[in-house]
Amino acid sequence: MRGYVIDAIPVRGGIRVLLDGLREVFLKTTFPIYVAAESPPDFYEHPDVTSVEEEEWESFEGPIKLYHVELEDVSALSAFRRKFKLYNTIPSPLAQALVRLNVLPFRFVDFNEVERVLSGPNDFPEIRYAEIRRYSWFGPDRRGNRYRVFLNGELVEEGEGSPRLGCDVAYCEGECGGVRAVLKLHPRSRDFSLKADIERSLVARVPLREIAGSSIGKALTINETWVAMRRRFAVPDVKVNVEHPRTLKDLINDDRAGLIIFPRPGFHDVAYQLDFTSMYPSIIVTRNISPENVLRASGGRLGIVPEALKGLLEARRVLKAVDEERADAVKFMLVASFGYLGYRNSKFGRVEAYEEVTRVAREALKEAIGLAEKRGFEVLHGIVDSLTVKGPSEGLEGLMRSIEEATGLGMRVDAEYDWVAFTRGLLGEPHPQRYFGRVRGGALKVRGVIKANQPNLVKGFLLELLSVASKEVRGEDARRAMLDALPSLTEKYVRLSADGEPLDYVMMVRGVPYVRGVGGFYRAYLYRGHDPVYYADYVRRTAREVRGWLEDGI
Amino acid sequence: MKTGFDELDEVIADDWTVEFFSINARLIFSFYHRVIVESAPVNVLVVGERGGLDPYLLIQIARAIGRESVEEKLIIRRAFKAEDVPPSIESFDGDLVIIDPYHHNRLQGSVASAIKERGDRTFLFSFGDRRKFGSVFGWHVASSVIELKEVEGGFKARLIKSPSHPEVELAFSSVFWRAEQGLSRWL
Repeated sequence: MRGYVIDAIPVRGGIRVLLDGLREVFLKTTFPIYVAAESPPDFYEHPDVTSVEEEEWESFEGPIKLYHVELEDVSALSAFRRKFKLYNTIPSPLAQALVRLNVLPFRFVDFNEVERVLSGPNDFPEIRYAEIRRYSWFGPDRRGNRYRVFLNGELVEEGEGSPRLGCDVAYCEGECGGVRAVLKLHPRSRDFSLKADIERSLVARVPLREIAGSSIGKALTINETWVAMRRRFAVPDVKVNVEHPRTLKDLINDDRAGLIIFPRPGFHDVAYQLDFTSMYPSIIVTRNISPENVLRASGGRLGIVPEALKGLLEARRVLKAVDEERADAVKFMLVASFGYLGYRNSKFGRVEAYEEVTRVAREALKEAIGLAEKRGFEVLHGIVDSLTVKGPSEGLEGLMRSIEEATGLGMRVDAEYDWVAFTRGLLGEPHPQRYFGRVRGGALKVRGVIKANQPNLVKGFLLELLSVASKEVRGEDARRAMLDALPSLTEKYVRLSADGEPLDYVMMVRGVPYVRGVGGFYRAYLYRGHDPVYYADYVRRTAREVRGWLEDGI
Repeated sequence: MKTGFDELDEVIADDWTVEFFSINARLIFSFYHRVIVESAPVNVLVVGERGGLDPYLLIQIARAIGRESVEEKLIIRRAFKAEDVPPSIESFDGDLVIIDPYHHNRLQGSVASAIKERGDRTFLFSFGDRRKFGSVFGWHVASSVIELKEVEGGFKARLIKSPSHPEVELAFSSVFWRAEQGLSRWL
């Protein structure tokens, strides 16, 4: 039999492999676990143990002895977990058994062949995958009565109640009794699409149900653990870290975040935003920063984390040419890689490694600023991995190449602005993370102006004001246009604060809809009126703030 | 190691492990910064996910009370999760200040045992009312336990447990002021 592997269910003595089209194959196998014990206990006392082998592994603490135990039934794992310290429990014994059998999730597999996997490393499975998303009157809502069905990413149906359809994999929100699928999951978060999770399942080589709805770090950690296991480097359930001792002076120097250069407030004509591409993952790879070698010599060998990230960077590069959404799924793993390097519960976390990455990043940005100024560019703003400069366009390519040569990190032009505006904070200081500008072609790039928890009314006000600015090619004209439009738009939205639609008054706070009523804020699953004075004040306050941003001219 | 407040230092002079606690987070925070500066050179273990130690406050206090710079005199480690705390305690030789040792509310037995096995002087600083939790874990670890309370014009240190002194209450002016003998010099 041949087909796409959708899911796998461990049973006593083997695995039920579920294929597309509601087909199934049974594979006889055992499940590996790795036990740390001082002296060899009698593992065979447990009826599910089929074999035991003593093995030498490397670990964060140095060489260790592990007992590689094969289990007939994976449910015996909990008994071992209670009694012993286990290593290599992620990826799960099921995923390890599948990889050993060369049966990889979402790959096209021929069960009669020895090699089994027939699809290429970058092929996306040709299956039917569906997402059932629910909505209420205010927008996305897991408990909403209205649904939309997206089949292979396309909206195919919407309605009320429960949808009916057949597919291979489905992500369901709410009641999904009418959905017939090989694998039906109810992920807790909406952060990632089903397609993105399938991509991560492909990259991490674990069944979808093991990463669906979990944090992005899980797929990343699994990926790193595969590299570690290939090197016979044992990964503990909980990694104990004893920090390298430091003086106060060293701590002040080391424990710093990314570099931020305060912007020059005002409107600036013709500017370029240059970004380091995948800066933090690239630093980890090029500088070989990994928890196991950050405090001791690596001996020239690439660390576990850099090796895992190198694969991801390459996968992203290849996928970028094939499918942007799939490339983004890998990108988010890369984005998480840096945070996980310093995260206390990460299996490959170590704060010294994290600090080393930020140190290199700060040096790289400083180097880039120096080179830009040397080549006659004016640096308007710099933040962690991005630099906004003003200067001759013909010198831009040369500047980027020189930065790449000096830092060893890739660079790209993120935005070519016709104009860009940096603003001030409430105390009059330059705001490092709030700017907006018109990029070539007329689109706007806006950061930190519109906040997720603002009422829709205020968001609408700001968007309309910014769209006025986007029509102007020169910064000063954009500033004047905004100043001219501000009074009438303020008046319009103040009026709307009394007689708008209920949706105008909704503000989403951590996924929960709120409306300000006359008696205070309430959860707006049902609209029960609003306080027009509050919304009018909000609009006026925002207008005053925006006027402050526009005080700085060219 | 010393707190910089003479009467208090006299009371705990013979104790190896002293625990200070307060329900006033700001007071205990300021107090242990002062103690660290007074005790320099000393080892410091900061337990917690983030924060816990303000390096610039330490430098400021050193300057304010006329001490030499402490930047090179403090050896610091941080323990970000419960499992890191016992081995981090064991990793220090010499006098040690532990900030919020039971912060994670997990593995208290192992933490208490690591503190107890130390052969050098140890000062512990805890947030919250340790009388409510003390009977459960760690109370027996410290030979002296002192509660800090903010009062008008300063703070009070109340000796709750001590092998050598009865329960006493000592009053001091602000944590950041220079330690002065005050009226006691007339005795």
